[in-house]
Formats: sequence, structure tokens, C-alpha cells
Amino acid sequence: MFLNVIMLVGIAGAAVPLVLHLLNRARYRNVAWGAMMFLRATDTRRRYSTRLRQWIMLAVRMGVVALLAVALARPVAAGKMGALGASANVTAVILLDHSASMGYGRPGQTRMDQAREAVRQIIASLHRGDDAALITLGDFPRTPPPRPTADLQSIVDSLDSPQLQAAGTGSTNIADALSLAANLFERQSNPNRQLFIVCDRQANNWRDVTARMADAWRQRVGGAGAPPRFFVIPVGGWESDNLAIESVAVNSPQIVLNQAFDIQITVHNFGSTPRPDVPLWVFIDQRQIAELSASVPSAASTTVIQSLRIRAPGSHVITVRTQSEGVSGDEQFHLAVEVIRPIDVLVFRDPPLSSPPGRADYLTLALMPLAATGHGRIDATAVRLQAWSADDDWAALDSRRFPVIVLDGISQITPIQARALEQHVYGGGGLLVSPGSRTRLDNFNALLYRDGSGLLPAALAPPTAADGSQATAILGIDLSHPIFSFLRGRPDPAPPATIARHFRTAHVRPDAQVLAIYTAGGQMLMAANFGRGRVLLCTTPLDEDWSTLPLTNFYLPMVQSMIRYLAARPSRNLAAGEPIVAQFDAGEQATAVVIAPDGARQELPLQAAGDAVEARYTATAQPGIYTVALGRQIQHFVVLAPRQESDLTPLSPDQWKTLSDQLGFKVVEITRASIAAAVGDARSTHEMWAFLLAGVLALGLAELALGRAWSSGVGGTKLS
Amino acid sequence: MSFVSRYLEPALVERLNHLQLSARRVVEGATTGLHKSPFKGASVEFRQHRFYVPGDEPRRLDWRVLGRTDRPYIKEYDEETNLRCLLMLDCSGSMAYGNPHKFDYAARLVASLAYLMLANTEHVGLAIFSDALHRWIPPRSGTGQLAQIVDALEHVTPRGPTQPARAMHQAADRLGRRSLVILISDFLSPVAGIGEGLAHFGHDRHELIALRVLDRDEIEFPFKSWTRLRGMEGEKPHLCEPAIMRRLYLDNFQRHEKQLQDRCHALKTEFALFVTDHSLLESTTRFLHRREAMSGT
Repeated sequence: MFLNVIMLVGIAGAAVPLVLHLLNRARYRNVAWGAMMFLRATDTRRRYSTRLRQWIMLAVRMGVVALLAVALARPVAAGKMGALGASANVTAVILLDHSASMGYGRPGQTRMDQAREAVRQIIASLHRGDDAALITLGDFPRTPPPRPTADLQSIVDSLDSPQLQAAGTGSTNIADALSLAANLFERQSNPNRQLFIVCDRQANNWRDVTARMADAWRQRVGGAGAPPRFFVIPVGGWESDNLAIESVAVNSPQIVLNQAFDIQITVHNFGSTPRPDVPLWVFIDQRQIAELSASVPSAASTTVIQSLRIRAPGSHVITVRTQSEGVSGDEQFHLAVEVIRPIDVLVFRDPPLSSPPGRADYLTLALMPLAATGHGRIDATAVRLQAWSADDDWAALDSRRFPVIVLDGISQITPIQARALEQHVYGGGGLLVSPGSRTRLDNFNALLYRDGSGLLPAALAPPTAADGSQATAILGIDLSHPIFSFLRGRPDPAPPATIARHFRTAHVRPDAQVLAIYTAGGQMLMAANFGRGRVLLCTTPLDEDWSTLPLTNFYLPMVQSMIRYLAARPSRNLAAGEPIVAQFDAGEQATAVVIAPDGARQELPLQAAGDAVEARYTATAQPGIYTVALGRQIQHFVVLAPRQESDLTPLSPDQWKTLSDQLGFKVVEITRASIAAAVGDARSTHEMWAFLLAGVLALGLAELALGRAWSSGVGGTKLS
Repeated sequence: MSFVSRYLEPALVERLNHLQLSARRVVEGATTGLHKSPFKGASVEFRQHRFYVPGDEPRRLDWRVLGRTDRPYIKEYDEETNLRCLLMLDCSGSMAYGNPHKFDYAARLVASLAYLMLANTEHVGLAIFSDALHRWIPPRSGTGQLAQIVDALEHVTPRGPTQPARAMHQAADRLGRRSLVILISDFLSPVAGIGEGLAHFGHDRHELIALRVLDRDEIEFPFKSWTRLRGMEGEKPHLCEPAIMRRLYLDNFQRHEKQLQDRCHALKTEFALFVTDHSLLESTTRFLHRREAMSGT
């Protein structure tokens, strides 16, 4: 193995003596010589000997050059050969698993405690002059890894820091860690490199390590020379029992004040023992409002649905907790929700606004069912119908007053109206476009699609036949989309509606989402973002003219869900490292305050964002609840803890072997003797360049000696 | 001759005027001189008494001994004669190597020795050879001989292969009377051939001196980069990496050097090495002093 492979090119230099030999032969000088009789070898043996000497000299000279090139390529050797080389100092990189799963175990005997002891032993095994870097895995933010330091005591001291006293909250990804180590090694010139990974046996740590990735990594760290000696020191046992709240989801795109909504609580049992009666407590803003029970089979999930209603607008945190002895942190789940007041929806229609006698205004009924039935409760949406007029420039569109606008079958719009709609959506408003039989496609396409740069997710094409000969049904629905979250868990989510006619679409924008399609093909419902707002395009009218959709039980929740989706605020549930962006109504305060999960407070400067102000906070490494306050305005954000750590399933012996073969590491079980022996064995790799240089010197001297011996005569030149 | 000064520098001449080259062994001279002659007769140095045999010249009887002992003894003397020397110079292609050429160096050595000996009224001749004798100047005395030798040196260009044995055979056949033969060459040829030639001279009872002239490069093989060595005597070129080839070369050179010296020793031939990066004056002086010391003269 060579550390400087490029220098092996120098082996070609071995041809130089041969070339010089041939050149010299070709560029000889002519001398008229009298004593020719002494140039003739006296016997055949002498003649062959002379020729042999010539070739030996040439071979020695070529050997000097070739050996020098090999020495400059800095070969390394192990074992008995390595003992000939010079012992070099070691650069050790220690990757320490600091993920949530390392907290498993009894206090004082957690996996993290064992891991810290293992790191101490590794450090103790290093010698004076060695350097090392300790990199913790599973932490946020991922700061640049520390450079290896010869101050090994500082690394030992860092193990006692509060940060490393307990397990972290993140997730370890060994593939990322290996890449990090490779980066570090690339900046090191020391050829004697050692890589240690101290982690638990969790299979999930290695989830992204594939054969291809392993090949690429080994080529990267070993391509330019000797690969590092690689050891994995697993800590902890083979236990995998753990119960975790896998997720908590709200079955509505937007929670509305006093409107009931469902939350789906999914509990996963990673162990092999069924859990028949798992208690679940539901809290809203730290106040318990429900206690549930779930039966969770072994190695399976169970979903529990709980209906909730929140009676105060604003930011809230829903928390679900359970009781688990496994990994800390995954026994509870926080969800930040924003509860808004009923949504004011502005619906534009061609006059007359009222439906003809004998026909129902299904859209209004669906959006305000309680009002239509005379029920005393307040609907989630408040509809205001407005007749479309070409003279109306919609300059007075109040996006804050009407967060959602519906174009319900209007025939056309003016350019000024189109621009007003764009402003509305760009600023964060929602727009539902539902063309009808009187809609002028050319007008809509020119002003709302604008060759893909407008509001519509796709251009509208002529509708299907009016005679119903191309009637179809809704076939595919994207159940993962928030609009259709109300359908989750239903056995047959497709509505039994007949779509007699619908508009075709053309030139679908690449960023458009297709949420529902027809049996006959073509998009039924499409979504797209525009600025900070959202647009939905329903290709069949929302009344009963072209379909029986309003007559199905699918219609009301779908329409309400579409409106809630269009009115929904940005999610406040973030991944670790994702920045918090809190928008407030402008006030007198100059700064907002953020309170981190650990109670730390920090003032945040405010920036103008339209009519509002905005505060940003990026140090979201720690999972938990972040509270941002501006005066009386409070917003909660939740940084979700990664749930991969909940799965403690250990690697099987076969998986260990496969990984070991792929990455070339040696598994060292944690005992003082085994780690010391492993490190000692790693030191048997030595650079051979000094040994080879000595060989070069020896060959050079041999060349001189042979040249002198073979070119000088016995008795020398004593004649005078 | 105008060429004389080119081969005999004033400093060299000055030094040579204080030196002499004597024959260590007996040579046959034509005139009375410094050197011992194998011919016994009326000379100044008494050798022995010998009983008279019929035919001896009566004048050579030692009358004093006859008067005291009544026995006729002949009085014998060692005849002292002048030196008869042949300088043999290699002009093969390999002698052209170096800066200055080994041949130039050797030619100056030849001129110096010729001057030295002619100044002592010796007889000096010159034989220039490579694979055979190319020029033959019989030994004579007199200043005209020096001019003739220098002229011969001036008109020789080193080239061609070496066959010293053949040249030495030819020279030995021509030389006749016992002489001092000074062979000046790089001796870059098989020792066996050289030995044959030397043996021929030895058999004819000539005194032999082998002076080897080499360039420093030929001793040390100092090349660093790839070199294509092209033979100067028509050998096939050889491309070599010196770092590897040097050992082989030096081994072969050392072996050849030792064989050559051993062969010279066996044939009672004095051997000396001259390297062209050394001053000719110093090298010649050192050689003559050493020779003088060894001969006890």
C-alpha cells in the first residue's frame, strides 16, 4: 500500500539509465587507438563476464531509480515487514455515538456511560505525540469537526462535560459520520491513521451504509495511500424493547376555533413482547385533557384516534405522553398547532348570485352547514358571495379579511383582477379556481396560467363532451395530502360520484401537485404554490351542473378541507436544524424573545415582512418546544425528535460481518485488554520509505563499488 | 641539417654532452675506442698469459717471462674498440597515438642517443620498421651520420601493422658484427613475436636494449564515456563502455607488460619504459644514469 501513489510514476524513471545507456552508445566519441590488442577478451568466459557486468551495472542503476520512486511513494507495510519500517505517530479519529438511543439503560450504566469509558481507553492506548479528534454523532447543529489535537487530556476532559454526561436527542447516521471522518483524514498528512466508532448495536445507525457507499468510502480513504485502521466498538447489550409514540397527526389541514378535529396517535412497540394496555395521556398546553389506552402488538404499531376541540385561538401545543422504560425522549410527542378563527371565504360568481329556484347552492351549504340548518353553533368558514363584474378592479381585496377566495365558475376576469389575485396569493392568501360551463378558457389561460408563470397549476383545455358520453369518476386520491387527511383510515376513500363533464388540462406546471384524478384519466384536483400562498384548481364545477359530487358525503369534508388547506398557516413543527420563522402583527416592541426547550431565553431582532414583522431563530438543535413571544403574541414551535432512534433493533451477527467486510473494520468488544491490543496491533503498520531509502543508498554504493572494482585493474597504474 | 634542432633541443644537447652510452657487453668496433672488443691484440689493457703455440706472432711473446722461465708465453690484451650501435625505431600505426605522438617522442629519443654516441666517435646506424624494415642506415661514425639519421626520421610517417619479429630478423641478418642494438617501440604486439626477434639478436651475440615508449592513456585507459576505439593498425573498431572495459584492458596490459619484461630478462635484454608525458630529457638522463650505475662504469 502506498501513501503517495502518484510517485510510483517515477518507476518509469528506471528506464532512464537504460535510455542513457542507449544514448551514450549512440553518442560515443571516436578515438584512434593503438593498443587494440588489450581490448580483446582472452577467453569466451571473460567476454561473457564483461557483458554480464555491463548488464548488472545497468540493472543496479535502474534499481536505484525504481527503488527511489517506490520509496517516494511512501509504502506502508504491516506485520513482519512493517517491523522494518519506522514507527510513525498515530492520528486517531473517534466517532462517538451521542444519539438518543445511547441513553438506554439504568442510570450510571447507560450505553453512553460505557461509550465514554471506551473512549477513555482508546485515548489511554495512544502514545505521546499521537493526536486525536473526538467527534460526537447525532448532535445538531453539525459544526465542523474538531481538528486532531495532541492534547489528549483535553479529549478525556471533554467526556465529563455536561453535554456528554447524557445521551443526546438526535439520531446517528454512520454513513454521514464516515464521510465526516474521510474529510478529516483528507486534511491529515499522517499516514498512520486510526478510526474508531463507539456506538451501540442499533441497526438503524447503519441504515445508509450500502455496499456501494462502502466501496466509495474505502476508495476515498484508501485511494491515496494506506486506509486507516478501522475499529468499531459496540457498547450496550442486544436489548431492543422500546415503546415509542411514533407520530401524532391532526386530521385537518387547519384547526379552527371551536371546531372538532381528530388527532391520530401512533404508538410503536419495538420489542418482542405485546403491550396490551399502554396508557396515553393527551395534553393541550400542558393541561391534560384525555387519557387513552392502546394495545400494541410486538414489533407493530397501533393508531388511536382522539377527537379534540380547542376553544382559544392562537398557538397551542398538543402533547401525547406514554410510559416507557426504553429510550428517553420518544415516550412523548409534541405537536404545535395554530388555531384560527372561522375562515372568511370570498366567493366570486357570475350574477345572479342566488341559485335558480329548485337548485341548491351546494358550495355555500358545504362551507356553512350549521348556518344553513339554523344550528346555533358557528361554522368553520364564513362565506361571502360577490357577483363578478368586469368593472370591479378588486383593488380593495382584503387578503387579511378574506384569506381564501373562490372563483366559482365565473366566465372571465380582467387583467387587473388577475393581478389583484396574484397579489393576494403571493402575500399568503388562498385561491380555489373552479371553472364552469361559461368559463372562457382563453381568458383564464392568458391571465391566470400565463404560460406557466401565473396562478393556475395547469392550462385549461376544452371540457369533455356535453352529452355525458365521456362521464367518469374520481379514481385516485392522494391520501398523504392534508386536504384528504379526513379520508385516512377509511376503507374506500373514493367518492361514489359521477363526473359527467370536466375540463381537460394541458401544460401542467412541473411544481404542480395532482391530488385527485379521474378514472378516464386527467386531473381532477391540482395544487400549486405561488409566493407564500396556495392555489387549488378543481377541473369540474363545484355545483351539480357537471357531476353528482355535491350529492355525496365526500363533498362537504372535501370542500371544507380545501378551504382549510388554503387558509392554513405554515407548519410550526420543524426538524432539528430547521429555522423558526415567527410572524407577528407589528407592535411597539423592537425584539421578540425565544425560549428554548432547556429554558434558555434569547432576544430576536424583528424584520419587516409586509404589514407584519418577522423573527428568525436558527439554533434549533434541541428537540422540544420553542416559544417565541412578542408582547402578548405568542407562537409555539416544536422541533421534532428523530424517531429512528426508537428502533433499538440490533445488528445481527451476519449484518455485522457484512458491514465489517464492506467497510474493512474490526469489531472490538469493550474490555481494556481488547482495545489496548487492537490499538497496539494497529501500530504495527509502518512506513517503509526510510528502509527503502537505505536500500537506495546501498544500491548506490554497490554501483560505485562495482564500477570501481570492475573498472580498475589489478596493480593499478603503477607504471611510469 | 635544419631538422636536427627539432629533434635535439639545446637543453637536451647540453645534458647529453655530459653523458655517454656505453656497451655493457663486448661489441665489435672498427676503430679503437671506449668499448671492449672481442678481438685480442695489441691494446692497452692486459688480459692473460697463454703458452705459445706455433703460429703465434713472435712479437707477441712476453720476453720477460721467457727470460725468467725459459718458457714461451704469449701476452694477450683486451682490445678496446669503439661502439657499434643500431637504433631500431618502430614506425607502425600505433606509434602515431598521443599528443605528442609516441613516434615523435621516440624519434627524439633516437636522435638523442645517436647524438650521444656519435659525439663519442661511435658508429651508429638506424633501422626504421613496422611490419618489415623500411629504412636501413648502416652504423657509421661522424657528424654526417647524425644528419642522415635525422633526415631519415623526418621523412617517416608512422602507419601500418607491426611485425617486430620480421623486422628484427631482417636487421639481424644485415647487422653482421656484434653490436649494441637499441630497440625503440611501443611493443604493442604479441610478446612471442618480439621474443623471437630479440632471441635472434641474442643468438648473434648482440647486446640488446628495449626501450618502450607509451602514452599515459595506454597505461591508465582513462576514458569515462562511451568510446569507439578505432584501431590504428587496421583492427576492427571496438565500442566500449570504459567503466566496464577498463578492468579488462588493464588486466591485459599488465599481463603483456609482465610477459614482455620476463622475456627481455630471459634474453638478457635491458628494458626501460618511456612515457610521453615525462620529459625526454629527464627520462633519458635517468635511463643513462641507471645504466651507468648498473654497469659500474
